Amino acid sequence: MAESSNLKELGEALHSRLIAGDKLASAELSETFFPILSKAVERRFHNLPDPHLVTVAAEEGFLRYLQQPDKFDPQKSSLIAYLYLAAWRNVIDKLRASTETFVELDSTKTEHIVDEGAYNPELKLIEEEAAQFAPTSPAMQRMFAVVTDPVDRKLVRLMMDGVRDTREYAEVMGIQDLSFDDQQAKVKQHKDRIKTALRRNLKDWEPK
Amino acid sequence: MQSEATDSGLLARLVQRLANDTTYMAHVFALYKSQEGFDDADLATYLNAFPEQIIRLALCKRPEPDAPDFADQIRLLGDFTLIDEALLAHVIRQVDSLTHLSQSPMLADPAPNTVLGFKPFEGTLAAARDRDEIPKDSGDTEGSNEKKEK
Repeated sequence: MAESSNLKELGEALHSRLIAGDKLASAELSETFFPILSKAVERRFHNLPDPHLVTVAAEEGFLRYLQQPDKFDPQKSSLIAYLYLAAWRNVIDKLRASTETFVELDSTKTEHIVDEGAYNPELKLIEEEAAQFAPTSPAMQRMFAVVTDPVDRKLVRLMMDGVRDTREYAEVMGIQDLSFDDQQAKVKQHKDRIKTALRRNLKDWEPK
Repeated sequence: MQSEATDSGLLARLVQRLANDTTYMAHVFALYKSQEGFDDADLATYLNAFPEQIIRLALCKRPEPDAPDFADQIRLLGDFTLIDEALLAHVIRQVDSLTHLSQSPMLADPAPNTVLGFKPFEGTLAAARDRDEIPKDSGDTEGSNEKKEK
């Protein structure tokens, strides 16, 4: 996942890649945006009798985006705002369809949220909160707990960011002066070595 | 900062829901687990990967088997998740082969020969493995060797 504190730009970049058919984009979008979205929606509807309804609504909203990404227009809103509104509407629809009442919902806030064109303090807050950290995927965190060598960590970061350019790896490894073919061979060798080391480490790992 | 365990749990739920979408690796893994009688832990062990790596891979779109750059796509997924490319390719090919075979007219409507005690699909599965796949315990791949040493 690309390291970025600007969630709006990151969302636009990943969205463009998803539209272009990038095989990795859905995973990066999920790792970056789904936990933020899910927790924001759960916070908003924390007092509903059935918390599962909120979880499912967030999942369905996010999956709908993955299936129909072209419905999101980056010119109109940030991706996190779009996803939040979709999940929010999903919750409301589910509540309307169920026998639950709206007693616990604040209707004045509802009016704010459904008005996409208006300045929305709740969405602003979510975006600000989300931007306070550079999201790191659980997979990346796991790898960084295992790989401790600084150079290997940089290589792992490039690999897990989907970087394909050999020159970027060569630069990290300090082998820019080699011929391109030699760089490719060395880079491949290092990648394989890292994967082998991870497998060895896995043997000592016990699931929690 | 969000907790790792919570994020993994959330993402694992997404993976479950994507298992029905044929364009995702989550679907490939669901079929492979069904074919092999694996659970999540078995799959992780087979792929020599931490659960977080499996989840990340499952959230990726699957490579198209007929794509001219299939090998490149496998390599990209292997790097992205740090999972062995040969094992990954094996999983995808097995799932595609068996899915294709199970859709063939002969297997979809098998002849009434069960008196011989054969299950038609089992024989086909064995033949497919003999010809073009890596047996799990053969030690033919680096990944398999690693597992064998356990």
